[in-house]
Amino acid sequence: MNTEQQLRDAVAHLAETAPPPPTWEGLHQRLASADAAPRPRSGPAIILAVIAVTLVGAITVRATSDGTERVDVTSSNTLAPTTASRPPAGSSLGEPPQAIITTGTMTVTLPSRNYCWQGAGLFRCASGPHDPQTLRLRGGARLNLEFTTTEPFTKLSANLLQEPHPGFDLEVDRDGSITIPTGTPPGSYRFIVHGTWSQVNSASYQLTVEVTD
Amino acid sequence: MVGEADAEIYQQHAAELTRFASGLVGPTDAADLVSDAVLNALSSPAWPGVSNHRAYLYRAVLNAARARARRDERRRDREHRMVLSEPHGHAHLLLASVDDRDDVIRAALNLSPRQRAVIYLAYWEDITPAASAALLGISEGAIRRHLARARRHLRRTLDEH
Repeated sequence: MNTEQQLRDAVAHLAETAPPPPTWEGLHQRLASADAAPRPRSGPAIILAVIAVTLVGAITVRATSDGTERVDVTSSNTLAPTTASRPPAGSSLGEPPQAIITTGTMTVTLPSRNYCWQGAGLFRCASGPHDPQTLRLRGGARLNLEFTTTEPFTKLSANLLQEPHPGFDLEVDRDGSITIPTGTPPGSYRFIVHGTWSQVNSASYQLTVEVTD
Repeated sequence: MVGEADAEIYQQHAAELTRFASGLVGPTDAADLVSDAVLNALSSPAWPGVSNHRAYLYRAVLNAARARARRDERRRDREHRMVLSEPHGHAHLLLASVDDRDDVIRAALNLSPRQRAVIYLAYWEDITPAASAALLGISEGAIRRHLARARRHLRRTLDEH
């Protein structure tokens, strides 16, 4: 086989193995999010700010007598409102990202030893990479997972494994995202974000998303 | 603000843009590349005045691929400066996602984004250099040069194996 034919075959292979195109709905949501809240991207104290166009919740933060800040989350999501506490700024666990409640959106800032996520009316902070979290999501809702890092990294090619479906790699430069689309069948989906940072070596963060009927 | 007309334009070209992106960066990253490119295009102040949406979106995908290649290059530089054990960067990850035995695919994915675009249009879309030039917004002479260099590079690479 000559080079021309080999080249034609190679290009055909790449074209034929192309994935399905992104959905318009997903693009539209990203556009709306960008319009609502442009994300700052510089400085060590950068805070990820993602506000979905479907924003229906509100969040207030107030100091409490035990020195923590209490985060009250209210939402018109179908799940009940909930409450979570986070450590005060400057604690040994560090400052979690600012909580901005969005419906159907989760953010994880890496590689904080503790990290927080929010979505479906919930806001929680995990104590570390070995504290896997679970998010329950009612079927039909859209969940957008977004990851960002502002810390110096030595190797940041985070792998995002989706189970039970075959895993795939999500190369992350400074941030990355994946969407669980509307209509995803009920079941348990586990996401593992693995990365290597200079100050924490490598760490894996686990999030199980349980999609219910 | 995007509207129904934009949705129709996107739906009309989404599949071919994703195939084009796969030809540029491989199937693993193709959807992400299309997302970034389309979002940039729709957010551009120039978008409402665009007459040839197909060409504009193809160029947006190519520009996104070039930006990604530059970003990967910077990252490789950073990693090298830090004397790390992973010197291969994005190209290595990209190549690992395809069949390791397929030297042609690997060689094609090591071309520059513009060379990959020209190769894709010539060998998959089967369009003339003039049509490729119109689509990508570069001269026909440049298309022919990219094509010749890409073929030369591929032959040399394959001869080495």
